[in-house]
Amino acid sequence: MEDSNKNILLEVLTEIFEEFAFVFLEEESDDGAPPDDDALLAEIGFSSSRRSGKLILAASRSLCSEVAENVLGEEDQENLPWNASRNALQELVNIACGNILARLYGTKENFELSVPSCLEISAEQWRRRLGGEGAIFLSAEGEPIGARLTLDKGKRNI
Amino acid sequence: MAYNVLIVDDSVLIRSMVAKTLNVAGIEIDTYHYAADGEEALNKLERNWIDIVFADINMPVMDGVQMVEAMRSRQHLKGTPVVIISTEQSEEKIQQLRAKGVEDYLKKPFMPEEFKEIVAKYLDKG
Repeated sequence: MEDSNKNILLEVLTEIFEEFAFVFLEEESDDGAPPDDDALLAEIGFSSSRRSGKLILAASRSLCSEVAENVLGEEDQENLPWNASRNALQELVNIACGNILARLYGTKENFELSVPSCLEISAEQWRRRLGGEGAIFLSAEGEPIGARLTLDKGKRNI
Repeated sequence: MAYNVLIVDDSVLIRSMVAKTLNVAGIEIDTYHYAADGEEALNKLERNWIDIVFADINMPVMDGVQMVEAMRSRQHLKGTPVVIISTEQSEEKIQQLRAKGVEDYLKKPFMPEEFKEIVAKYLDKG
């Protein structure tokens, strides 16, 4: 991924976490080690007549719960809806994707977005999905966050 | 005046956040109705008086565009304002939505002031 795209990904994620979830991110310079506890990975696909791709966003379940608590103004985790952590990460990847595409390609290009999915992943899957070139790593309150934007030429069914 | 609103989104988080934002904006709400997709929303619309609908586009079962098309094909729901809340920002998509009968569009993440403007525009007409 080009550095300019990485910068936009970084900018948008920082803004979205702050505005949507009141969580402040820091950029990490390490290789993106997985969190100590369970991790969730959300994915959204997009396609226009000219290009397609996907955005993935991964974070620890505890950070996702914190986002949900902040969004709902709920201090007790036991009062959160059962799927609130997944919902929070899905919504973050959804909002991030729309904003990244608008910044990269403007608002003239018409993109279709998929319904975001969310999976629980192991440390090994974290390394596999976020390892190598193109991923960015951030952290919030010591919890790692990983993201990767993949771009392909041409339209694709999403 | 207090309004009846219908919030349609497959994310419980966003449904709750829209309700809280309406509250923060100081808009008086009589009843909040919720639906997780367009089909559930149409059922709610058939059973309850709704002043305004806030809906997502991308939802399972029936998406926001299909929901608006269904509403506009029913005489008694033709006049109910629908505001789409989405991350999609393409001008073409927003024009398509307006052509299908969507009154307005809010981009996520949204602010309380934007809801105030929407309510003033479509409901507080005197």
